[in-house]
Amino acid sequence: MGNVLIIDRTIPEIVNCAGKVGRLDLIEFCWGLKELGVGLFEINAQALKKLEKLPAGIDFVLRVECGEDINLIRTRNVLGIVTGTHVLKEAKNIERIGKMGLCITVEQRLDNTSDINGLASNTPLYKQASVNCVRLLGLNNFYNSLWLEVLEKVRGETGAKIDICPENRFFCASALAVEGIMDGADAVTLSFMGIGRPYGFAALEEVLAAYMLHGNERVKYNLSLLPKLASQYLILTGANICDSKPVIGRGIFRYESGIHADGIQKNPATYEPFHPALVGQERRLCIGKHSGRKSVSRKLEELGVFCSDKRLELFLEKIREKSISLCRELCDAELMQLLGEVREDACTDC
Amino acid sequence: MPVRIVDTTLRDGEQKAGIALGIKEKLEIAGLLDKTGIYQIEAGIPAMGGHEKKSIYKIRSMGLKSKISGWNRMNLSDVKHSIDCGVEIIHISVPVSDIQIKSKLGRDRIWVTDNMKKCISFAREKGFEVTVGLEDASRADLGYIVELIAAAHLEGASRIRYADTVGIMLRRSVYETIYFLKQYCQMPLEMHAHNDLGMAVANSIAAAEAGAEFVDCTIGGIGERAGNCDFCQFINAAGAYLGLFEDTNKEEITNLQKEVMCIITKK
Repeated sequence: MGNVLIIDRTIPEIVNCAGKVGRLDLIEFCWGLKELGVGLFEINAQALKKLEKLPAGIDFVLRVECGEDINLIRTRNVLGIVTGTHVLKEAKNIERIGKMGLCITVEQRLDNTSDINGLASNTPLYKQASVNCVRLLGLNNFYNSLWLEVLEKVRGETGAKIDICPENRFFCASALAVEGIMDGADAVTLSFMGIGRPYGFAALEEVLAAYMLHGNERVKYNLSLLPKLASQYLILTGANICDSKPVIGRGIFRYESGIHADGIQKNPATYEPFHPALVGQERRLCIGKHSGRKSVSRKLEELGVFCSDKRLELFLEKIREKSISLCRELCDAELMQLLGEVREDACTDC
Repeated sequence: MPVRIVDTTLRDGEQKAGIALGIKEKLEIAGLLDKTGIYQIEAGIPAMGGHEKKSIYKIRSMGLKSKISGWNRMNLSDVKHSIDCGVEIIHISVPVSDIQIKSKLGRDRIWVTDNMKKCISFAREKGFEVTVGLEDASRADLGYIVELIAAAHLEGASRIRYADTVGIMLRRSVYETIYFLKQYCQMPLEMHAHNDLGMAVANSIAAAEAGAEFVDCTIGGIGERAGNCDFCQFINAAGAYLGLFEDTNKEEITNLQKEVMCIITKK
């Protein structure tokens, strides 16, 4: 398992779905993704137009839908093209690409494992065009992990490198991408938050986190940048990021239930898959319906308030009632107000 | 092989920080889940007492077709609360990884095995079906898991839940682990996946492919941290990959999800 090339295809998706996208915002987002660990950015004609002059220091590949798109390449930091067989079938296109010294990635859709046999028929074309890399797109019905034998077969037949780009039609794209990396794919094409048409792609942040946790120890991605990138993504797309979104959701390290609070207090690793700081976050104790005695005591300590055991029991009951009525956790101010009410109740009992 | 769904929206789903359901909401959701033909509804944690215990008791009294279960820590007090609620299945969660056993419980494996046996035996004597959840199984020693499964079987447990509690597994390791455990487990296996790396659906599919007879889901995938296996997504993926749930009306399931999420968010 070597160091796989991470290709990002978020930019064309953002440009397509968001109306007004600022050029500088896009470039800043690219720099952030590069710092995260992305090695190559895929753009298309529409994104190229939006970016105008491509920033030096970031490497791109251009999606070529038709021969004319090749003419759009004017800067050295477009290292290659991503295209389909229809473009390669025209000799003049191959000639121009060759003269420009561009690497060719050819995209091959594979929906079922039986589609692998179809690859063989294209091998002569790939060789004639000196294709550098074959991107396996889709893989929607590749549910059995043994599909990875495909990689060796394709590599053997074409002599090209392998890039995998799973779609997320059945919610397994990130799993497929990680398996691809583990089994020796040379590159993997992903998008931030899995954004993409029509089903989305493997989510960049999920795949990098999984690869770091399970892969080669030498592989380091700067995942602490993810909150900043999420903010930039929000500005660019206006899309809401669900607070439970794996790896980047703002709520993934919030904990409330007594069982989890107790475990985390003793040793955070009991209920956390990785340290929150790894992805630039912090854990946060919430108080609500599911809170237990220990977590409420801890919260009161944080707030600098003393509470007797008897009063704590009443307080806990009040918290549960209030939390249910509000259908959410309680904030510090609400807790202090509630504690005040419990004091009065306790005095009445006396 | 058919796969049955255990819906844990009312237990693990509700444990997501910030979600708080009252009795009325829990009853409404249980009624909606039952209409979809879900095999089992994990209705909550009876040991929480108060509203929670009342709601589980009332759900049980609704006469639903789905089996109603209560989630319990591994102690007799919790099990007694479940018995009070009259649930059909008593689920006992057994921490099995060394990190959970040492850091959380401050005990050792022998203590865990003994206590598990006591709890199963107690509930079985009272005439309840007992399922055992192997909490944090994905970080536990597989040899110890096999040992526990054998002990649970001898005490009369009817099913084993394999929990990827912190959501760190990849689907190939899920497949291999479940396939391995199937050789040693004389009871049906249940997969409980979390979505911390975005793999919950993929991992649940892998478990079903390897022979797990039950899969845990929540509506909207709600749950601790990044949540659990999303019910709608699992039904769709299991249909495409494994040819399961072909008779399930996908549109109905989607509408159910919307209704339940409206109840949860009170919108």
